[in-house]
Amino acid sequence: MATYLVEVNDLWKSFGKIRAVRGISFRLEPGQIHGLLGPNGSGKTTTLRCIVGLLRPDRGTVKIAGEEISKTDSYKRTVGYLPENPSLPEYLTVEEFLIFSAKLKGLDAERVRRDVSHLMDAFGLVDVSDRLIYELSKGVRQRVAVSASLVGEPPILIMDEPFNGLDPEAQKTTKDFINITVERGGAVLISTHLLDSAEKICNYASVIAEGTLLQSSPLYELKRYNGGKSLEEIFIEMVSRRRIRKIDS
Amino acid sequence: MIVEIFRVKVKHYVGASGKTFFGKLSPVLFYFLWLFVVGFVSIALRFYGIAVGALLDDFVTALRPLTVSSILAVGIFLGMKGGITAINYEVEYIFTSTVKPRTFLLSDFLFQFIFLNLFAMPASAVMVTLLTYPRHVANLVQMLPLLEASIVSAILLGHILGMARNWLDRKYVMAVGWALIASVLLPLLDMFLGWFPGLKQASLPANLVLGLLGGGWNSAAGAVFIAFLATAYALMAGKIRYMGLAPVLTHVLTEPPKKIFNVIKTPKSLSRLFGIGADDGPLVLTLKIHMTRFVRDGSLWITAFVLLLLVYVNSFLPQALAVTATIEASYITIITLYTPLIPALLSINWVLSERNNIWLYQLSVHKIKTYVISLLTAYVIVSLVFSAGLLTAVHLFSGPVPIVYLDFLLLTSSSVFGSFFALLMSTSVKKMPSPFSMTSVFLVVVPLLGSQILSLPVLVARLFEPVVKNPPTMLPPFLMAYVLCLSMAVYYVSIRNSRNVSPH
Ligand SMILES: Nc1ncnc2c1ncn2[C@@H]1O[C@H](COP(=O)(O)OP(=O)(O)O)[C@@H](O)[C@H]1O
Ligand SMILES: [Mg+2]
Repeated sequence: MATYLVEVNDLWKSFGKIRAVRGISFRLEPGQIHGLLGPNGSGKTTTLRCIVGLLRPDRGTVKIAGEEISKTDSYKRTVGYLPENPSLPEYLTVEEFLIFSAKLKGLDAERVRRDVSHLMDAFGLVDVSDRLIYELSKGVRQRVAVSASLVGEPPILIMDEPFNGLDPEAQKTTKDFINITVERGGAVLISTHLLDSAEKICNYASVIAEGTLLQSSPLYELKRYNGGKSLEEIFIEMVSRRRIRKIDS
Repeated sequence: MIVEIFRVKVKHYVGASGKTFFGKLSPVLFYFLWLFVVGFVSIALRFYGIAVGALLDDFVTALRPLTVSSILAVGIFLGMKGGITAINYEVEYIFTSTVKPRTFLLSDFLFQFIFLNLFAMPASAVMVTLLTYPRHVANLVQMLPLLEASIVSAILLGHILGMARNWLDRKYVMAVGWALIASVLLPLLDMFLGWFPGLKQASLPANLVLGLLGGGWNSAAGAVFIAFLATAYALMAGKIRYMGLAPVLTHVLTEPPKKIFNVIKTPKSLSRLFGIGADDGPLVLTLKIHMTRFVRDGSLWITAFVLLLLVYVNSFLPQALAVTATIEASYITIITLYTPLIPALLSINWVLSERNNIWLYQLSVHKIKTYVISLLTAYVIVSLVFSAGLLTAVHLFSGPVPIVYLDFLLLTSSSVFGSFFALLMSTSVKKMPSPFSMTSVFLVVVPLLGSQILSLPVLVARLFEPVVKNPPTMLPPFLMAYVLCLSMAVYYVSIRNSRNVSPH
């Protein structure tokens, strides 16, 4: 049986004429912090939305903990999702929203209270717990969204540009939670174009461009193979090599 | 130059309506729909009038103060927001050019004048003619000049208030604005309440404009008022610089707005009313979230306001008609006619803002069905509470009225069926509509019509006097069973339809 936490198989998704994702496959194993790296518009967000089940792929399958997500709802308990530019119920206070998110994960009352107060502490949200989300600045808002994705300690985290707009302190906290998740045997998928952060936190990288996968391997292999260059150099080379090949053909 | 600026403005609005043929057509269709609705309502009223042998001239006369006051109120309100309308390009290019502010102001005056006229003039003409033919000429002569005078005064007031910010602190301008709005709306309210006997004669803006056609001193006072506004306007427009203008950006007319209502801060106690706690079950929790949203994002208050306005307008109707049935029956009919408007407005706001948050529910372990049911329940609760409130208001104003079981049935059925259609429409809409698109029209019209049609048996029974007095034995159980069965059907259709909000 599968030991993979997430298994993406030949995923395709178009929006009208735009072919956003074209046959992407990769896997998440326990202990992996998997960076999904690619330029703007390369299909990262679309891939993540297909994985959590917010978009229905045109072709291909997504399995979470061995079960195909189009056939079951039970995977939702195990997945924490952070959207890119999350749309939040702005009319709720921070605390209400976190309680609400926890309830949507099906946690019992005791657990809800514990998780919410723990996360508010960790992300410095105690002072704003009574504020409406509407009134928050972009950074604090993002902290709220990150907290909400972590509620219930899901073993699988799917995070779309998680460090967007976070200050260094909140970035550190987020990384801590990511590390705790994989230490417990979970896995984390992060989409980002910030290669510096990716290089520091990820142990596995998939590079995509124009909806196709260019490379998927452990980070140390990727670096050894490319003569110890930084991820940024490798990435730029890879993407531009692809461009040249396209012009040639 | 004035005309140049105006031309570009119009082009901008026409061009923005869309590239497809249907998109270009939709403002025109919208416009004809508006005229059609006005015409339809007028004809319906006319037939009532014929049926009971009443003349509708009184009704038309009663409409006059309402028209004047509401147009003035719109102008003043716009004035508090900045008064002058502009599109982004104008702020970026004209405000930085050598075009005189006066020129720009006049072109905006022209624009607002034509826009308001397009909206109000043909509609009023149609209404007055249909209601009072063959005496329509006399009534038109009374109504149309008043309309023009109100439009001109409204724009002048709006521009003046907007420019006043250049010299006065914003909070003073706001204070003056609110005072003006009160002075415009109070006489209207008082016609209903009759608390301040002197108000009708006081030299308030609305009364001054109304007096224009009164002859003698009244006309003179009205003319002086408008001349005074025009002079103040001319003086200010000559002095002001672009820096002093705070235009209202009107791109909201051509783009889908993010939301119609902004989150408003409500007192803690009020918003804690539906305490969102860790102990609630999924359905109750979601229901509480919806109610909190209604209270905090202002949709509840706006809905209440629109409703009160409509009921107010219609409260002239029974007096003008002296309908076959009793007065209270006609009040109740009016209330049930407007009840579906409550969920319709709420669901438009849902499409505009809450729809984006649905990912939270799509990823939750609870079934999406829970969400849809809770939304339907929330609509029904608000509709029932509001319509019951209106019914109570009728009691307060017209003395105790015997309430029969049919009234409860009618309120229930129009609340439930209206909510159902509102939910069905809003969850079927794929894209955010712009305010003047056909989609927005359907979002309102379908719940109104749909709920009327489904409530028809109850409505007919309620309006038929002998049935109300001596109901046939089998009728009450039959009607109750009808409403109950249909409600259950509606409930199941809503659940089936919930896959509209689910990605799979
Ligand atoms: N809902 C949508 N409708 C139409 N096009 C979309 C939609 N979402 C994404 N796209 C298009 O798909 C492509 C990939 O987008 P996205 O997955 O957001 O990329 P990334 O997250 O890597 O920046 C882009 O060209 C984008 O314009
Ligand atoms: Mg993205």
